[in-house]
Amino acid sequence: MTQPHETPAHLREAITNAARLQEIFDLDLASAKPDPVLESMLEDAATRLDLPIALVSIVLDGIQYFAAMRGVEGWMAETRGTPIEWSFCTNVVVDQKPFLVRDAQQDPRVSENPLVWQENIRSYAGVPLRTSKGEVVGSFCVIGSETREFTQDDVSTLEVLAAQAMVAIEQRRSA
Amino acid sequence: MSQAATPEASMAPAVGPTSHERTLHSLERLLGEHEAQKTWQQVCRAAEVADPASPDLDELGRIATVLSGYQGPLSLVGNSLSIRIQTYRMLHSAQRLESFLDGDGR
Repeated sequence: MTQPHETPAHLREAITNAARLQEIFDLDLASAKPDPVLESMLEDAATRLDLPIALVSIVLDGIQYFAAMRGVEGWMAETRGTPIEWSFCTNVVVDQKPFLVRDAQQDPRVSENPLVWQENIRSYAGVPLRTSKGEVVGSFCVIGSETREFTQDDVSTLEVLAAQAMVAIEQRRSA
Repeated sequence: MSQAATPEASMAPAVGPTSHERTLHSLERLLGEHEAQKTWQQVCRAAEVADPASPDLDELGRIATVLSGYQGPLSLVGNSLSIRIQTYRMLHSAQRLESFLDGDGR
């Protein structure tokens, strides 16, 4: 039986996929170099959805890594990531579709996540960051500290921005 | 972004701060079991790990550094390990999440 602190096996299989990790490496998505283009897209997302936090979160084998971030403070800004067990974005990668949380405190999928209670993450909307080779490398997401009902328009806005982010990211392949 | 801990927080699932099993599993997924074991032994030698079967936190930190210097996805495994250790140390020193510590006593 899986212990509470272990990542479920199906999830680990999905996130340690070799082709997916190769894409993350090829696209230089785990480097700490600031990317003003991605940061401006996050600013746009946060403004348009009126939420304080936006991330380009890359899901590695044991962590989520913030390739670009807006509104993140404290220890998560220092580490630029969290252990995979606490990552909402992992759901986007594993399911390869948008992951929406209206009220994290009431949502059984995430209500036991310590970030909900310790860091006051209450609402979340993330969409896949999919490369031209079809690998979902992470999530383009927004986070709020209050409950939020996300609309289809909100999701569409994020999907457009995520696609634009991937165009910018794909340019690294030929750089 | 922070708020006071609640009783619910102590019920949160614990997170093992780091483990060599996790890293080895990632290596096996990337390289296959045989090559992963070989690479693990090489990395442990380079990181001056006393016992590759149970490295302590400092040794895991050195393993992360060695792996991060590899080319390709192996470097990502090193990055992951490094951030997990960093997170663990940061939260441990601040004693922010008791549940975080419950996963592994190291």
